[in-house]
Amino acid sequence: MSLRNYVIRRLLFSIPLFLGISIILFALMINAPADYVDVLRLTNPTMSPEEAANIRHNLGLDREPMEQYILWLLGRNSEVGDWGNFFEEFANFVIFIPFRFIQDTGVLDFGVPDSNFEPGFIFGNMGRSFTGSSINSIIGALAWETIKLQLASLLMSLMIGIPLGIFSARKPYSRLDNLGTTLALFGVSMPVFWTGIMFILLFSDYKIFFGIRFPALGSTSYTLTGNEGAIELLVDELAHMILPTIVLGLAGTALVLRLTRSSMLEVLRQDYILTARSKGLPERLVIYKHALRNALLPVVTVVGLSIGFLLAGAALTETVFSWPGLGREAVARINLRDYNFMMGVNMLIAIMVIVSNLVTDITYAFLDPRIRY
Amino acid sequence: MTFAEEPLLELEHLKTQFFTEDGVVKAVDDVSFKLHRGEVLGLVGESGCGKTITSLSILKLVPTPPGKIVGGKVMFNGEDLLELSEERMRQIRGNEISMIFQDPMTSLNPVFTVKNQILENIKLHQDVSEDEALEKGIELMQMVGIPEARRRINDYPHLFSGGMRQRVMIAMALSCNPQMLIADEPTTALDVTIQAQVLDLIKDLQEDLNMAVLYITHNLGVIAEIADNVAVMYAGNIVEYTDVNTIYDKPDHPYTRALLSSIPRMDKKISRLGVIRGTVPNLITPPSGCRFHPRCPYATEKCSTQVPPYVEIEPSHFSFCHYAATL
Amino acid sequence: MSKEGKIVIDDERLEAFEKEKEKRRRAGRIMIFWRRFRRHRMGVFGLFIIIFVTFVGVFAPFLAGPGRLVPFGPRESNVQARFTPPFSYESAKDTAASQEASTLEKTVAAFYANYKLNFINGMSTTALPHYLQLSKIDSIVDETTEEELWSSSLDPADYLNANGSLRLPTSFNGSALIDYRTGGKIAFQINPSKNKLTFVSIFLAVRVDSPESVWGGKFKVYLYEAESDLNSANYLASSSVQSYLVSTGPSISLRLIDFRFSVAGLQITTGSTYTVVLDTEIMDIEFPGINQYVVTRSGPAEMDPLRTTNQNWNALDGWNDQDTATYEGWMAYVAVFYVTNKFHVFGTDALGRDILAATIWGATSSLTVAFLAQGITTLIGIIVGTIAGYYGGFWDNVLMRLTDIILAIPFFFLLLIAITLWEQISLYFMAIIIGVLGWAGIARVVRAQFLSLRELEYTEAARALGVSNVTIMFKHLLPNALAPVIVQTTLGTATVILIEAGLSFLGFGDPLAVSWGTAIQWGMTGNTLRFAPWVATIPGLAIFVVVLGFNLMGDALRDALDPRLKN
Repeated sequence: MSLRNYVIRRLLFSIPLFLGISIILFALMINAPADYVDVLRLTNPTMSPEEAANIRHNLGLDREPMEQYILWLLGRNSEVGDWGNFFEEFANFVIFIPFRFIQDTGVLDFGVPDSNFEPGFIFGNMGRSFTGSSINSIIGALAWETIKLQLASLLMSLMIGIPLGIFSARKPYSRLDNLGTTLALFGVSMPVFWTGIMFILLFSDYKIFFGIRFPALGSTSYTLTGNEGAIELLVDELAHMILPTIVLGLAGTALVLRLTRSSMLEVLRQDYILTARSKGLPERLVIYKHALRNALLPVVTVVGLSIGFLLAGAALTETVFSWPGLGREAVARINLRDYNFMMGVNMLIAIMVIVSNLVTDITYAFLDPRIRY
Repeated sequence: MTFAEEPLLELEHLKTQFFTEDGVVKAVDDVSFKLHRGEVLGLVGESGCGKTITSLSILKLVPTPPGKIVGGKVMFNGEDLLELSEERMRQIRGNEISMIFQDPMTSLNPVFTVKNQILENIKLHQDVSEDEALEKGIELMQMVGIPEARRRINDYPHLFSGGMRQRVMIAMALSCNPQMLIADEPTTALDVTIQAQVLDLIKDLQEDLNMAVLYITHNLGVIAEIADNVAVMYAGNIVEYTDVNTIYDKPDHPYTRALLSSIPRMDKKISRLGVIRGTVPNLITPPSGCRFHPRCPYATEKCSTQVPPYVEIEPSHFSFCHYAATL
Repeated sequence: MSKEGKIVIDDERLEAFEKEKEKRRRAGRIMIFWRRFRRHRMGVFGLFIIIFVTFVGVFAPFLAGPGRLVPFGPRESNVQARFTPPFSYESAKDTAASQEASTLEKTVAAFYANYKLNFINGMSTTALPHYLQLSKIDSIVDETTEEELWSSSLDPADYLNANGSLRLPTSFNGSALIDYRTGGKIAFQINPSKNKLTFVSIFLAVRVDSPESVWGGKFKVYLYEAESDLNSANYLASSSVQSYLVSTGPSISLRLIDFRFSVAGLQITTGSTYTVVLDTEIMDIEFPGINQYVVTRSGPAEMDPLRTTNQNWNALDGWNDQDTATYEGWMAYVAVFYVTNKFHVFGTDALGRDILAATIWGATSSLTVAFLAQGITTLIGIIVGTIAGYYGGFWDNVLMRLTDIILAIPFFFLLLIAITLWEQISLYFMAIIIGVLGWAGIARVVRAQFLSLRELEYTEAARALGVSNVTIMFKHLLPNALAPVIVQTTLGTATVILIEAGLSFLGFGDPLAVSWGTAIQWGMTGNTLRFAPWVATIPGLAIFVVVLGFNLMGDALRDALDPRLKN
């Protein structure tokens, strides 16, 4: 099977998966005892039942579950908030997409009328959160903060974890290996939010590192006036990244170290390593040419998976560092019972997971010639 | 067959031990033998008796830790390999002494092409260009009987069958015209028909290149086919050393006898195959005296207390038994 | 062989040799496994930790409280007792410590007389002295009023009006009670000792008694010059915030909220006196049976904008980078009791809750959730994996696609969504949710094992003999597939503990149970982290140790069950 066919087949197979995920999520939120309006009534106890019903109606929460699901999936008339003349508007919308696009750029005017059709999930529109803003724009605003933190910590864990793991595996049960594995075990055993709190206490409050106070709140200083130069802004941003990156990275490093070590130990026990040594290859080549490529295969899987969950962020770490990312946002939104937002974010992440799994599998096949699609 | 000249390889009182949590495993204990140019020496024994560790000790490839060569000498071309630097040792490995392993399925690195792995060896030990190395590699593959060598050299190991992979291993081992080849049960993992082919191949190449071969196996039938001399190992000791005919006609050590009586033979009519009672001793606390004594039908008090001497029963026939030549 | 007669066959020695072999064979799989496991000292250490913590968890009612608690789980009736330290003052009557304790007790009792005034429907007085203690009193500016506070008599006549209504104590700085039905104003006199008054911070402690507790209010802070008319609009600065509090269950006791009102940018003269007015407008909420009281108490304190739950705290970030001394400000306190003494071995939090007791109760909560959830996970995982792996085909497809679906959703988010399905979360619901959603990993492991096992000869043999599928699956194959499941379960328990702590930390835990995560959250409330770092540290250490124990044991089990991994 060619690579292209394989990818197409995998993507086709993932369509029922998407539907399954969305139905499960939808079923969960339909069954929740309190909805967004209940929470609103708590914040505003003076709200009358009529007002509440009105809000529910506007959000479409009073519709049949099946109807809500289809509106979410396919789209709705943004004026009346329901089907409207669904099929006509739907067809109108789909047919005129390219024309409207060109018209919007101002190059040509086709005279295509504006559409009241608000596209649903299948058009890449994750819909509106209950608070009114578009979920796409919320994610757009927060995604970079989450991604930069995640990527930085992932980079840190790979850059420290892999070399240390190799080192540990080369001299198993030596003193340094014992130290490394013990620390790694500590790393995977510490609750990450607690590590974060301890880091804030030590590095931001007690200033134990040469009396430097590391910023521990948010991703930029509040005191910025807007007149700072690009370099100042960059320094400020990087300074805020230090603590959360290290906290997240430590847990990742511990994980990567353990993984690399155990898989390297496994590989070094293989016959082909003995073969390589019996050929007189220098130890450096044996380790970095023959062993490493085999040993890194499981690490590739883990990294691939974590890239899929990149946008999920680290809800706990982000909360502790009040990092304006998607993880913290999700926690706040769940408190508001903003299920639309949760639905949108989770679907987006599910897509990323499925795509990254596919990419991982393809990468795997390149790294390991034994595997065919 | 006699070899007048100086031996190519001479092991003197080699001792290799493994330091594990359970105790010290005396895997190779006081092993000595000689190997001449053009000679094929069969090293026979049950699994776990120290054959493989002996061969790895020669190349100093014993996994360290936990393993360690604690004593003895490995004289190769007049040099003691155990004294050599790691740098010099690397020049010997793959160049002057090559090794092929038991399981061709796992002894080739699955993520590199055959070309990569053969050429790696050639380029490491010989000052040749990429193209010359490739030609040499293809030539080697043709020599070991791989069809369409020019095309198949670019394949990954998993695309070869077991026998073909072992041929690739042999090609790799012979790429630098080594003076000595260590073959560690090279045919054990193969089908019987393939076994015979590979065995023939090794024999032919050995004669063509006049290599010394240390052939390790637990299969006495294979030994009869290929070896000039035979060393029988038991629990880390060599218990008998002689030429291949003597071992079948006049075995001396009780273990060798027991071993021979436990395999069917075409030249003798035996109603029932012999069985060696008991099991292989663990090598952490090996039996005192002669290590075979708990299983030996002829054992006496002396056997359990005194380590037996090497007795030269007749020229080039050694037996490691108190009652050598008397049983 | 002609000389055979000469040789004695030593049967005796052979027998001894064989006997030892036989003994080893008879020891069986479990003994062999145990012998292998025992060799991992760290694994045995992990097992010891687990046994110890399980013991603590099971006997928490007797260890954490003075033995008067309902066993298994701190429920409603345990709420107040769980705040008390495990060691009672009574047990130290005749020692020198009892002197100290009794002085302390008097102080506390005296304070609590005032404190209780504010919590008129408060807790039973008997338990109070043990857990309400003061340390930060020294920062009250007006010495005389402080004296008044502590020497005030316990006679209700002092603080009740003739008609039984509460008299607002105006004689000292700013402790006041506001009826939720009316709202009200409290004025504080403040006297900045440093050159800048940057902001006023007010903590509000609220007590709510209601099955459906909702509390909300609007708060405004005005800053006046001392002598000016407090009712007119001639304030120097003002700030307002609207906040609400939802408690999730009946009989919640204390909630501490903090509000900060920034009045930065004002030019304040050192030495002059100003008046801060807190104007509260409590929302009129139509819930019968709610008694709410707003209590504030003021006092100067070193400004530390380290933590607050208020949204405003982002505005305080900037303070971090500068010397705190320039930001000397004023804070309104209620009950900041950070005390470490011999009775509170691990100290208390801002509300006087004993951290040792909380840590002990945390073991109960954590292990209840961990064992229950992991049990469910393992059970479902084994069943799903067995069916998928053994039958293959249709069932394999269906179950594995379900597994894919669950694995494609971020687990923590999935839990957050699922947990909102319950109006009031209890430990058991938490365990069930974590367990029911977490089986995907184990199911995959079991399935992979079964895929290879079902091809083996003995499966064929059993089938040929007419053994039923269920018997083959669970009696013949499952024991052979268990090794990785045991390892996964052990390591999974560690993960569940971390997840439970994380959920509780975010406030999605059982509000009536003390969990380690909740206790860490106490340590993040207000200024607690700065003044009382132990509140967050010690429960976190407890999590760390238990999770380490499970990880150590899991690693050792992996080595013991899979000797291939050991050299």
